[in-house]
Amino acid sequence: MLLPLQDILGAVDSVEASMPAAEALAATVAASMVAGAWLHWGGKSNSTATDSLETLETSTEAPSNSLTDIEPVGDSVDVADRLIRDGRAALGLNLQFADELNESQRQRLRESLTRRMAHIHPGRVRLESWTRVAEHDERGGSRIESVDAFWMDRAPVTNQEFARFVAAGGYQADSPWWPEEAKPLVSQFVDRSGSAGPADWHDSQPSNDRRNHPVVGVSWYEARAYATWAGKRLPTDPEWLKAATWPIDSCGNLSQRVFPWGDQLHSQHAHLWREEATGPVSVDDFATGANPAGVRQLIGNVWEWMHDAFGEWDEQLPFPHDGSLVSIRGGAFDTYFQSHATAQFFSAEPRVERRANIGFRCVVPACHVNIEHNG
Amino acid sequence: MTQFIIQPLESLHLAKYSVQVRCIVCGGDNMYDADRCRHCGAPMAISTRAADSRRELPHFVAALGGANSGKTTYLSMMVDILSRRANDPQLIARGAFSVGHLRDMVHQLRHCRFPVSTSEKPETWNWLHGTLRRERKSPIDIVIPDFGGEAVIAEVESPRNNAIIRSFLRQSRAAIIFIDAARLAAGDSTPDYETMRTISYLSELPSRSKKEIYQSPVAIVFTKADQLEVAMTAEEFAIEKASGVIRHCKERLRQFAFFFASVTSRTILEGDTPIPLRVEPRGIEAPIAWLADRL
Repeated sequence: MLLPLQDILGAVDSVEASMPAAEALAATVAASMVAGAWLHWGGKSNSTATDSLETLETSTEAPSNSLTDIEPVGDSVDVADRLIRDGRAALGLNLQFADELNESQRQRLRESLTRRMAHIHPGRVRLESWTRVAEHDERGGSRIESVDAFWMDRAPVTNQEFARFVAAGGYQADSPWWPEEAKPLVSQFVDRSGSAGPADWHDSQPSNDRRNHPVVGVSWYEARAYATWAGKRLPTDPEWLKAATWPIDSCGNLSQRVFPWGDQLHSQHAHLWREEATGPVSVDDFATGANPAGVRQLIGNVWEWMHDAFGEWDEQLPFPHDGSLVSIRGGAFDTYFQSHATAQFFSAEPRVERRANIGFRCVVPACHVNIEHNG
Repeated sequence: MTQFIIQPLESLHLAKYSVQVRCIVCGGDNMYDADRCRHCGAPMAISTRAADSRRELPHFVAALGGANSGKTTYLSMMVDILSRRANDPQLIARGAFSVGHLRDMVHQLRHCRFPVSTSEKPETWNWLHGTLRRERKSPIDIVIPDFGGEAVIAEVESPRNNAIIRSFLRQSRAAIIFIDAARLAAGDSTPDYETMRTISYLSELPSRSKKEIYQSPVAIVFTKADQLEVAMTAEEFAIEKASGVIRHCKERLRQFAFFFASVTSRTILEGDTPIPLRVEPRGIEAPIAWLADRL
């Protein structure tokens, strides 16, 4: 459901007063995403996308939401540099504000975004049912979805990247990245010391030797909040599968890979169970398991939260699903069976679960950001 | 006129039939070509291998626990994991029955189904037989039967009700007791009582000790630990949720240790049937490694 712009702005008025200008600006975007605008904007329907664009574009009329407000008074750090430092280049390139940056700033943001994110072409993708992928029952069906172009993080979000969000006050319940139903829960999302942060952190800090590991111990709500703060969102099941199965659509036939790199699994491709569960590794490892666009670790290391509720894309799911569970994909370091780590396999967890083997990565619809892809 | 015919010599077979093969589980006599003991249902391959081998008899390890306590799932996963390890402890399955059982159970888990509960009928029980390779110790053969949970509880509650289970337990060199941690965490004390009775039963088995203390090592495994929302050790969980078990262990067992284990990470109900949404084994090797050090 799309909210009128005035309602969206109204929703963030209260937090703007106590937030730095950049956060206030992001809050506007966040509120629109909380309202579901971004998902529809970049995801399923072009007509909806146009409507949403028009709605959001008008928001630049509000002076407090101008990009020029991002640069704090007395802060010598360039606004673009600040966004890049925080891993929020997508936010700065959002069509809503990109015109307010100069070309040099936009170019730096584009370079940052393309370093961290890969472009995934639009096209069709086949999603197989639970009955087929989990129970290996050929009677289980599949469905084909069309996906618009989008940008996807090349690696799962790391502890270091997530630490920026925590340090920026991301766990304040009144900040706009948290949906209403999550706000009473935010105070419970604490680390081992009782401070705000992922479950395995201490004093709101990751351990130094795991800064480049994927952030884990975060609920779906925390993952979603981070994505919103960064000007992105979690991938839908079709988007994630589009990146992981790399479909070739030829003469009406859809040919998809079992894994991002091909159809056979070798131990150097993905960090899965090998004699025993060892724990996550750096997001730079297992580079040979990348998809053709260079997106790493879609399979193995940690499961990844999807945007969608479990079963949202599967009419044949053999058990009741009320939306309380969210889809996760990709397998993790402790996934025992190879068949549970194919791109098509999916599992589920409640939204509030904070598991040591579930992380996430983000996407941003290509039509959202001021960047041309020439690939 | 003389006619030549070929008459097969049956005397060798007759000779074989005249010698009975003794089942090492129950001591009953069987024909040499029996697949399973006609008295207790144990695979006769265990006995014939023991008779043929000059090595010591296999070590019996009892797997005890009530119905749906997770014995079958745990044992299947344990054997599969230990069979694939490059480092000790490793388990090399012996006999087609062990391998076949393993394949069937693991197949179920791979297809996101739990293995079917083991029935009360001895002829349907699965017997795991393998060579356990241990760190810094010589390998040993072990036999772990997967008794039906209801049959175990029936024997524990009415001793001498089930001769097979009793005979096996009397000869056991170690035991693993499975407790459904999810039920305990939910406030159901039934697993606590069942385990107390099981420990009492073990301690009351005839032994050389005058005190009623079970001498062999006992690993107490809290299964389905993936469903717990607590961050504590297995010992702390036992103190919190199974205080009766703790007291019984201290008074009636000479060696014991608590473990958490889980095979799946999330289950969902399809009607009344739990469906595992993925398999992520945790804590499977620790109990058998602990026991292996003490055998």
